[in-house]
Amino acid sequence: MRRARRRVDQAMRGRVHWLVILLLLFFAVPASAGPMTRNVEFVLPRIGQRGTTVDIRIQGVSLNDPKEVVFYSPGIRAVELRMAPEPPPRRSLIHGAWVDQEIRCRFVISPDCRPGEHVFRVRTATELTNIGTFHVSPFRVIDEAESQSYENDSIDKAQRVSINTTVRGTLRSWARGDRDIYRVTGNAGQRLSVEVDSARIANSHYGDSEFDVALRILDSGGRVLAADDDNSIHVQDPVASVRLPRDSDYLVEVSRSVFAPRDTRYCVHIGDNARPRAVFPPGGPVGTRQKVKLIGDPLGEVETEILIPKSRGKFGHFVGGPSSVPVQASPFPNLIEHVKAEVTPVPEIPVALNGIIDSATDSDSWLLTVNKALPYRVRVSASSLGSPIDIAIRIRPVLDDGSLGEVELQKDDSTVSSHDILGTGFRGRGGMPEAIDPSVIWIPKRGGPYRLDVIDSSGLGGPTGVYRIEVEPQPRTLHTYLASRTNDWTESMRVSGLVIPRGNRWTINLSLSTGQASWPKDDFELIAKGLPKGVRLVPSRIRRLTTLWPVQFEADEGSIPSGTTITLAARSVKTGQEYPVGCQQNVPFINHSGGDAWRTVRMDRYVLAVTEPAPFTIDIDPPSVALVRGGELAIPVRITRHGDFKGPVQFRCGFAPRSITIPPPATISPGETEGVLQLAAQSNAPLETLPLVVLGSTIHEKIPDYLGAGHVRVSSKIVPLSVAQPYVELTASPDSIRRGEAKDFVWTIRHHTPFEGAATASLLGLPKGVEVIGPAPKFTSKSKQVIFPLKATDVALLGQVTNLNCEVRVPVDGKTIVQRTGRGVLRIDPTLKKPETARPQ
Amino acid sequence: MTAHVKTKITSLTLLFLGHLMLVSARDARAEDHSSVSFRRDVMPVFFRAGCNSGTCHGAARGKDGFHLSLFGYDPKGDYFRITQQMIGRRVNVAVPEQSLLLKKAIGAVAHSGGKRFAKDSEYYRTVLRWIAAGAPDGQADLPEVVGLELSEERFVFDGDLTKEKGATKTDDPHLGSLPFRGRGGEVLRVFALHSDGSRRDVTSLARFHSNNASVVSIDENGLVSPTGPGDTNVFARFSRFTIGAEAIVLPPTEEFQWPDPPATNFIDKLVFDRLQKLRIAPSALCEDETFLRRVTLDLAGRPPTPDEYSAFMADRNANKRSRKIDELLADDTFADLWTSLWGEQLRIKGGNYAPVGTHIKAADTFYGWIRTQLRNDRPLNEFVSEMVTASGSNLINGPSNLYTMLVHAPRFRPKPFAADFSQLFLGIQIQCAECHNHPFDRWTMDDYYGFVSFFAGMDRKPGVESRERRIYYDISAPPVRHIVDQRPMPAKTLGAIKPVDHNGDPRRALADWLTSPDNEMFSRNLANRIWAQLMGRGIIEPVDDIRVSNPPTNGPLLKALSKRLVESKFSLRSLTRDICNSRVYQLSSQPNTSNRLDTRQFSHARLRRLRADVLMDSVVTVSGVPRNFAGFPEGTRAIDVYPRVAGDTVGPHFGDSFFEVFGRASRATICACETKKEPTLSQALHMMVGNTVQDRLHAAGRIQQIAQSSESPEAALERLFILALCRKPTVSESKQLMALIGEDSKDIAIWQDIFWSLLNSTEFAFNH
Repeated sequence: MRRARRRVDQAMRGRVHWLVILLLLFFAVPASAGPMTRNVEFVLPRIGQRGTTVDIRIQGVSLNDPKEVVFYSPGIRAVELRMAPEPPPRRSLIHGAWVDQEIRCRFVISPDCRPGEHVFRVRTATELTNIGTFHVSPFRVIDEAESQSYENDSIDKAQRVSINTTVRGTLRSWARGDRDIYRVTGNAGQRLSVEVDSARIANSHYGDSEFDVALRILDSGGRVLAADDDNSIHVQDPVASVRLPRDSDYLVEVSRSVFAPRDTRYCVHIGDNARPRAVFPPGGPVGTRQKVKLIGDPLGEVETEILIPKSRGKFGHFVGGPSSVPVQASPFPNLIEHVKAEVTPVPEIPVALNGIIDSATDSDSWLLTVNKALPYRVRVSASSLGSPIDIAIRIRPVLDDGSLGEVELQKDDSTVSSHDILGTGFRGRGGMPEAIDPSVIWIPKRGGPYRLDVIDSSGLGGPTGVYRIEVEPQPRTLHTYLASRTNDWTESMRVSGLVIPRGNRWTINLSLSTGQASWPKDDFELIAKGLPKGVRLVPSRIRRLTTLWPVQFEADEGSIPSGTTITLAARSVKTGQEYPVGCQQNVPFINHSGGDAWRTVRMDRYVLAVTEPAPFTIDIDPPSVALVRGGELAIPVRITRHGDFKGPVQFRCGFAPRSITIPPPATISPGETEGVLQLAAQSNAPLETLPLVVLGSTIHEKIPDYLGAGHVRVSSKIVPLSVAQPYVELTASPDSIRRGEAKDFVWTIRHHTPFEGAATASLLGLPKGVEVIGPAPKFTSKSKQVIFPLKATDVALLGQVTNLNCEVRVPVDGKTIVQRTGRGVLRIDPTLKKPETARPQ
Repeated sequence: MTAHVKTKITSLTLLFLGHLMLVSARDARAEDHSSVSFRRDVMPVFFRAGCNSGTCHGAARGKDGFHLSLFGYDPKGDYFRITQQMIGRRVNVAVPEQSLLLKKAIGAVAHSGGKRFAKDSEYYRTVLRWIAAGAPDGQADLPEVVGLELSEERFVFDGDLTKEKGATKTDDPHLGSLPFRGRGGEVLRVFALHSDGSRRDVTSLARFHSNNASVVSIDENGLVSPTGPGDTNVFARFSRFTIGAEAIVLPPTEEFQWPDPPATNFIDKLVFDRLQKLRIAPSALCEDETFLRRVTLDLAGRPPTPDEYSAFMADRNANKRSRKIDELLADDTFADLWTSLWGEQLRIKGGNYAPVGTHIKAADTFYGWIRTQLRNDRPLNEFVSEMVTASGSNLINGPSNLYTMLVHAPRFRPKPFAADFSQLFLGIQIQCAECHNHPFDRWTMDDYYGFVSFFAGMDRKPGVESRERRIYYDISAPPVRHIVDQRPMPAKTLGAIKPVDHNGDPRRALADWLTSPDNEMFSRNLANRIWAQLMGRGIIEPVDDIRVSNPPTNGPLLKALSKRLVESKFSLRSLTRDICNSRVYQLSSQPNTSNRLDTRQFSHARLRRLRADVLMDSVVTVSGVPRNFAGFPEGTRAIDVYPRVAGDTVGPHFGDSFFEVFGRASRATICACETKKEPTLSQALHMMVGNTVQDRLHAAGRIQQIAQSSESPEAALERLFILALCRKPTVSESKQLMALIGEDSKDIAIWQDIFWSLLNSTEFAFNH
C-alpha cells in the first residue's frame, strides 16, 4: 500500500516539476525577440543626500574610457570617473542585455540641488550612453541594516532611525515575503511624513509588480495610523503623512503590494516635513507671485506665496520634503470658481479656470463667451497635478431663453499626445497621469455663451480634488522629439543619440509635431541653442507639415570633446522671426511583457556630445541626375580611413521618405573604401528634392547596430536628391503567343525627358518557356517603339501573365539611369492541333 | 337569413382579398362575438395546451415553421404570426373549422406536438369562437391580470391511514385549525385577479406542478394527492404569474413523541415548531468535542489545536460554548474565512498580464478591501452599497473591482453583469427574462431591461499605468432598449412600476434600494447564504435561485433570520452568533428514527465535506507542515489564496490543483453550484496517495515528537486523535490500534500509518 502511494506520489511530483518549469519559462522570456542592449543598466546607489558626495557605480556594457557625466538638470557634478579595477562578473538580464563593465565615480551634490530624479548620460571617449537616473534626498541617507533573513520584519526588531532620514533598503526575494520595519521617535502633534521611492528609482528596463510597494505607519502597539499603496501623486509609490497622537515610538513598514520573489531596491524618506497633497489654485500666470493654499497636510491648510516660473508648463513646488507638488504656469490670468454660485462667469479668454471637486456629488460649471467657428484649446490638468479626481468636461450652449442646448462637446480622457507628450508609442500610457486628463480642440458651432460643466468621473471628489482648465484660442506651437522605435522602445543611441566625433558630422532624424496646436505659418529652419564651441547645426529649410527631418551637426577639428544640453528654436524663412520649439524625449522604464511601460522618464532638452575623432569619414556626392519615378539610382559611397583603421564599415541610408525604397545596411569590407547605395523610387513618389544622407558605423561583434552601444558613427553631408518624371514611359497592348511560336512583343514609347545616345530595354516578368530572342533592343529619344522578339517553347507555361514590365537603362551625363516602366499582359496558348490528313493508302 | 349566415357569405366573398378581407370579416362579427378576446381567452389556451412552451412553438426559432412567444410574453407578435403571417391558413375566418390552428391542436392533421386537446373541449370551443368572430385582437383596455389567488394556502395530509378524507381539522395542536385532509386528493383552484378588481376562475387554464412528487402529486386539473410523508409545495401558473401552496404529508403518529427540546433562541423555536408540525423529532445536542470541532471549522476554517481542545474540555462553565463562539468571532480568522467566501462569490482572480483590468494587483486591492471591511464588521449593507456605487481606479479603490471581477470579459457588458449581480446580491436569477417573462417567477422583461439599465453606462477605461483600469459611469449613455419593441427602458428596480430618479448615474439609487432594510430580497438572500454556510444547506436551496417556485423550507425561519440581520444592522458576526448559539446548530449529526429521512428541516446536523481550502488548511494545521501556493508567500493559508494566473483571467481558474480536485469554485461563472460539495473518488485517491498527506507524514517531525515524547503509546495515540479528529479514541479504536502498535511503540512508520489513516478518515474530511 505504501509503495503504491509512493509511486503515485512520485508521478504527481514529476508533473508538478514540469509545470513549474513551464511557468518559469513563461516568466523568463520577454514577449519581444532580440536583445535590448544598453550602455547603462544600473546606477548604484540610487540616491544621495544633497550637499554630500556619493560614490557611484555605473554598470553596463561598452563603457570604456569614461570622460564625463552629463546631467540634464543642475545640482550634481560627477568627478573622478574611472573604470572599476575589476569588472563586475558578467550577468545576463531578463531583456536579453548583459552587464560586464563598471564605471566608478563620485557625484558631488550641491546643497541647493533639487530633490528627486536627475537624469544623465555618460560621455566616453567614443560614445554617449543611454540615460541613467539618480535621485537626491534632502535628508541624511543611510542603508537598511538587515544582514539576516527577516531581521527587521517584526515590530520588536524594527531598525531604529531618526526623523528626517532616507533609508536605502531592499525588499528581498525571500519565500515568506520580506517586509522592513523602521522605528522612529516622535512627539505629540508632530508631523510624520513618509514617502517611498520604488518604481521611480527602479533601474530596470524590464519588470513587473516587484517594484510595487506599500507603506504603513503604525503606533508602537502595531495599530495602523496610516497606510498607502497606490496614489494619485506618485502612482505606484506610496506616501503617507500623519499628525502623531502622543510622544512615543512609531513604526514605518515597507512591504510589497504584490508578492514577487525578487530583490527590489527602494528608498524610504522618513521626515517631519509638510506633505501637502495639492496646491490651490494649482497654478498661476507666468513670472508672477501667486498666493496659494497648501492642502492635504495632516497639520492643516497653509497659505503661502509661490513664484511662478517665466516659462509655461508644469513645475514642482517643494515644501521641504523629498518630492514636490505639481503646479502649472500659464501665460494668462487665473480665475477661481465661485464656490457658492451655481455657475462661475468667465470674463475673458484666454483664461485658466481653477476649482475643486470636493465631494462625490460636487460638479462645477463655468459660463464662457466664445466666437463661432474659432478653434479653442480646452486643456484640463487634474490627474497631472496629482489630484485624485478624474475630470470629464461637457460643453453646452446657453440658449436665448437661458436654457441649455444639446451637448456640443463631451470629453473624458485624451491621448498623451493631445497633451503635447510625444514619441510615446509604447503601450500602457507609461505611467503618465495626463492620460486621464481631457484636452481637446473645440470649435463652437455658434457664438455667445456656453456652459462648461466639470465632473469627476471617478465619483470620488475630495478636498484635494483640484483641477485647472486652460481655455485659449488654439495656439501655434512646434515640438521636436526623439523617439526610439526599437524592441520594447529601448533607447537606441543610433536613432536618438546626438554624438559627433570631433572633425566629423552626425545626422539624426528629428520628429516634428504640433501636438494639439496648429502649424507655424511658414517654412522654417531649426536653430540649436547651447551648442559647444566648434559645433554647428547645418541649416536646412523645413517645410511646414513636415513630421520627420534629418538634422545634421558638424564638429570642427578643433572642437573640444564635451557634453552639454541643448534646446532648439525655429526661424521663419519668410520673416526671419525666431520662436522657441519644444524639445522632448520620453523613455519608458519597467516594461512589462508585451511592452506595457510602467513609467516614463521625461526630458525637455537634448544632450549633445562631441567625442574623440572617428576612425573614418564617409562621403557621397550630390547626384548629378535625378532619381526618376519607378527608377533606380546608384549612389557611390566613399569612406576615408584615418590612422591605421582597416576594419569593416557598415553604411546605410540615413533618411528616406516612404516613397523611396532603400536597401538594408551594407558593409564595406576591411581595407576597402567604396560601396554603392542603390535607391529606388516608387512610381508615385512625389516630384521633389529630398535630403540624402548616408550613415557609417563601425561594427560590434556582439551588439546589433540598431541598439547603438559599442559603435562609432559618422554621417555624410546631406546632399539634395531630386525625384523626377521618368525619361520614358512604355505601354503595350495585351498579346498572346502559342507554344512553339515566335512573335514580336511591341511596346510604345512615350518620351518625358530627352536624352542623348541609345537607351537599352530589357523585358522582365516573362514566364518559364518564353524568352527574348537576340540582344536587348536599343532605342533613342526619337524612337516610337521598342520591339522584343519572343519565342515560346513547347513546354512554356500556359496561361496569362500580367506583370510584364521593362527595365530601361538611359545614358545621362556618362551615367546610366535605370528605370522601370510599363505593365504588359501576355497570354501563352497551347499549340494548335494540326488538321488531320488523309491516311496513306 | 341569420346574421351568422350573412357574415359567412360576406367572408367567403372576400376570401381572396387578403388582409382587407380579414379586417372586414372581423368588423362584421365584432358585435356578435365581442366577448371573445385573443389576449384574455385564446392565449391562455395556448399556454395551457403547452403550444407556447419552450419545447414547442415557444422555442427560440419556433417549431415546424410556426413561432409563438415563450409562454406568451409577446401577445402582439403572437397575434401577428397567427393571423397575418400565413393569411387564411392558420386561421380561416371563412371556415373556422378548417383553421390549421384547430386542426393541428385536435390532431386532425399531422402535428409534431400531437393532439393537444379534444374537439369537444372548452379550449377548442374558445379558439373556434374567436376565429369565427373574425380573429380579433384583444381590446387595448382589457383589464390586465395582476396576480393569482389559490383556493388553499396549505394542504395537510395525514399519513395515518385511519384518517378519513374530509376531516376539517387536525387533532394536532401544532397544526392548529388548518384545513386537514386524509389520504384522499383535493383540488387546488386558481383565480386570476384583474386590474379592474375582478376575479376569474382560471383553474382550467392554469398549469400545475409539484416540487416533490414523492410527497404530493398534482394533476392537470389541480387535483393534489399525497404520495409519501414529507413537505413540499405545489404550484399553479397562469399568465405571467406563478403561485404556490404548501403541501404536507404527515407520517403516522405511532411511535412519534415530541421530545420537547429547550429553545435557546428564536431559531430553535421556529425550527422546532416546524419539526413538531411535521412529526420529526430533532436529534440530541452534540458532544462538546463535536461542537468544538464544528464551530472552529465553521468560524476559523481550521480544526481546533490540541491546546484549544484541552482548554475547552477543561472548562466547566455552562456558557463555554457561547464563549467559544464569541472568541472565534472576535478573531480575524473569521473575517478572513468570509473574505475567502466573498472572494469566491465575487470571482476574484488575478493575472500577471490582464488587459481587462484584472491584474493581480487589482485582485489584491479588492481582496484586501473586503478583508478590511469584514475585520471591521462593516455592516453588510454598507459593504455591498460601496461596491455598487464604486468608481475610480481599480488599483486604488478596491470596491470598484466589482465591475472588473464579477464578469471577467474583455469589455463590460451590462446584461451578463446585471444577471450575475442579481444572482449574487439578491439570490434571484433574472436572466430568463431577457428573452421572455420568467416562467417560474414574477420577473418580466420590463423588470429585466429596467434592471439592466442600471449598468448601461458602466464602463472601464485605461488608467495611468498599464495594470490600471478606471471604472466610471458614462452619464451620456442611453438606457438599454426592450428587445421586443425597442422601447428605451430607464433604470428601474426589480418589481417597481416607475423608474428611479437619478442624476445621470443611477447606481446610487440602486444601492439605496438594494441595501435598504426594507428590501427583504436583499436581507433574505444574505441571511440564507449565512445560514447555508453554517448549516450546509440553505433554507432556500440552491441559495442563488430564489424564486416563487422555489420557496423556503421554513418560511418563518428565513423571515426571522432576515429580520434579525436587519435589526443587527446587517452584522455578519451578530447573525452568525445567533445561529451558532442555537440548539439547532449544535444538534448531533446522528439521526433518530423520525428524522433519518429529513434533509430539509435541520432536525439533525448535516454531514458536510470540508471546503477544499478549509481541508487543505486542516491538513496543514494538524501536520504542522505548510503548503505553498504559486504566487503567494510561504505560509499563506489556503483560505487566503485566490487564483493567480500567468495571463488573463477570463477562463476558469482554481488557483491550485488541490482546489480543483476538491471542488473549489473555478470562478468561471457566478453559480453557487461551482463549489462542489460531493466527495469523489479522485479526492479519496488524492488523500491516500497524493502529495498533500504523503509529504506531511515525514516532514516537520511532529509525529515523531508525539510518539517519542508521550508517556505511553496510549497517550501518544490519544494526542494523535485529538490533533486530527478533536476527540479521544474510543475504547474499541484504542484496543485495535494498540494491537497494531504492539511492542515496538517507537517505530515511527507505525505512527505515520496511523496518522495517515486518521487524515484519510471520513471523519477528518467532514464537518459533522
